[in-house]
Amino acid sequence: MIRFIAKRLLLLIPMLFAVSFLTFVLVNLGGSDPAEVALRVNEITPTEEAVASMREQLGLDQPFLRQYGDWMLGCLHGDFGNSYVDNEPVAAAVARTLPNTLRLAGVSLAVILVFSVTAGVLCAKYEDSVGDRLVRAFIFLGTAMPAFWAGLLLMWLFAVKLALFPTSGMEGASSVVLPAVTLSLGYLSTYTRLIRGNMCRNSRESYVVYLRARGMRERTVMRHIFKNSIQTSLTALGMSIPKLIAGTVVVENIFAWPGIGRLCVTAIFNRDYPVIQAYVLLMAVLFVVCNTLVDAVCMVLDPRIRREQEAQG
Amino acid sequence: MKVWKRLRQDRFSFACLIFLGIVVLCGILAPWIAPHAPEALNVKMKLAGPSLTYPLGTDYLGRCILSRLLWGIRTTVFLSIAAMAATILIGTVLGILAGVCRGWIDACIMRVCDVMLSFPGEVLTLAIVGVLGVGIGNVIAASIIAKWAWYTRMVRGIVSQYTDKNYIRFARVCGCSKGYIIQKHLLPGIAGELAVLATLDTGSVILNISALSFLGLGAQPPTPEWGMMLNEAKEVLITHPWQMAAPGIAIMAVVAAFQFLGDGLQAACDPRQTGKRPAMFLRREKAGGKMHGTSES
Repeated sequence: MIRFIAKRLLLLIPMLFAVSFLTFVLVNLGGSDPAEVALRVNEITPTEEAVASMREQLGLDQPFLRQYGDWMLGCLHGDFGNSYVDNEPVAAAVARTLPNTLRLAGVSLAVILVFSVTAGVLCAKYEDSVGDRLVRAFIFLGTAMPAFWAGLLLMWLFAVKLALFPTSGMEGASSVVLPAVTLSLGYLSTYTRLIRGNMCRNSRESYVVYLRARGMRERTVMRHIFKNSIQTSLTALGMSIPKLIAGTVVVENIFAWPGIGRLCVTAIFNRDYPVIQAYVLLMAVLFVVCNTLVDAVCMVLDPRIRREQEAQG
Repeated sequence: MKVWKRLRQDRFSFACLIFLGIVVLCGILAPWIAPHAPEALNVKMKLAGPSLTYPLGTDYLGRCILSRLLWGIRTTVFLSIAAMAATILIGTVLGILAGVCRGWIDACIMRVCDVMLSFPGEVLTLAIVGVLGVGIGNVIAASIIAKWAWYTRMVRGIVSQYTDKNYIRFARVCGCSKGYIIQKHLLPGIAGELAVLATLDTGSVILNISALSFLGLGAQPPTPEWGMMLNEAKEVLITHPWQMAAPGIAIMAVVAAFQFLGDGLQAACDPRQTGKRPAMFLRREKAGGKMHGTSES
């Protein structure tokens, strides 16, 4: 099995290269000349000379593959270049904002885990009761409600009307509540539905009948069902961790949370290419690595997948 | 036609279909049924409550909210549907190409898909908007680019499922051309599943496009767009909170309708899976076979 995990890890390397290349190509395919953009941002009229010297300064006069190589080497050393706007190293800006985003995503993840598991299990246990129906109605609202609208409503109710939490910014522990809840709403409904569905499906499996036939206590039966249905849900949750981090963009902008998503949107408005590039690369790497990790964990946990993989390999 | 009949029997899904039909009709007829021009300012009446002249009130520039909502159907809903249609077209063509031709064409298309799919969709959309610049056209383009790979892989999966079916082998043995097989046998088989996927997904495209417009990356003022209307409402959140009601409810209703319709369509296309309302006390009874197989992967 270790061999298969090692194989997956080795496969990561070409994947990461492909991802970084695509990131680079994407940004360089853009309609406008980065040198001209860099000049405009600093309110210098882009004369031909100025553009030429800027191109040289930014290394844009080099051949395309050379540029990519230089950029890639820089990235591997943790150097993403300098921002066009304030000339600050992008790495510093990322280091400043990324922890905030991770904190927000972490709190949301905890909220999702606690509430979706509780709600999912309770719903499956009391299937078709009033509570179950209420939760299911909420699930539908959660998937159809735009996150930004939910955020605004929460902000209005809890920050403006009830004044329980600050409307925006990141001061004190209470300021994380509203953004985290907003961020988790969509996932909460997805995972509650997933866990509920898994529990319901598992409770119709024959091993449950067998357990009951053996006269096991209801608690033991529930424990078995829970163990079997939580695995797939947890892997799905693992897969959505990078999505969660990437999904903070909207929430951070509503609540003025100083995270990396807000950094990226500001960079898009300013056409600050190095920042956009760094953001996309970071997120893509996170996504690829997380997926591989989840696959590996999945293989360790579930013998069925392990056998399938070994049969293929 | 069987699908249509079953869908009509499912009253709730049918209601959703009718609702969406009305929304589309309102969008088409916006110039005639909207009480005001969507960009017409009336600064004297700004942030007014509902009245006879302004049924839903006015926004911070004194523009009629109802009119903007109706015109917004054109931007938000129509463009999302258009983006979805383009995505499906690309996905179907490439997917069938990969599934039917196999060999190096298949390998090339699938590797490109792999790389595209290694980005989270939201990040890819942001990246493309970042590169192309701000604007609703670019957001639509980004949404297509971010989604086509997923559909291509999906269609290819369905196609390769069908190519091993006996009736298609038979058609091949009979000497039917590839084009004929695709047209007569593959497309009808794919159409149902694609319709379900597309209907379910249109809702999320609407959410995405309005979210980007909400951030200011999509539609630019004064174009009426629901996400942007929410963004404008956010500015007056503290003084006039009801401003955010109309566009928010509009987005939610349309997205929910698409989702319900998609679920209904799925049930109508594949009645075997209609375990929609599971029997109440099945848990206590003997388990009646597995539902859909055990593993999701």
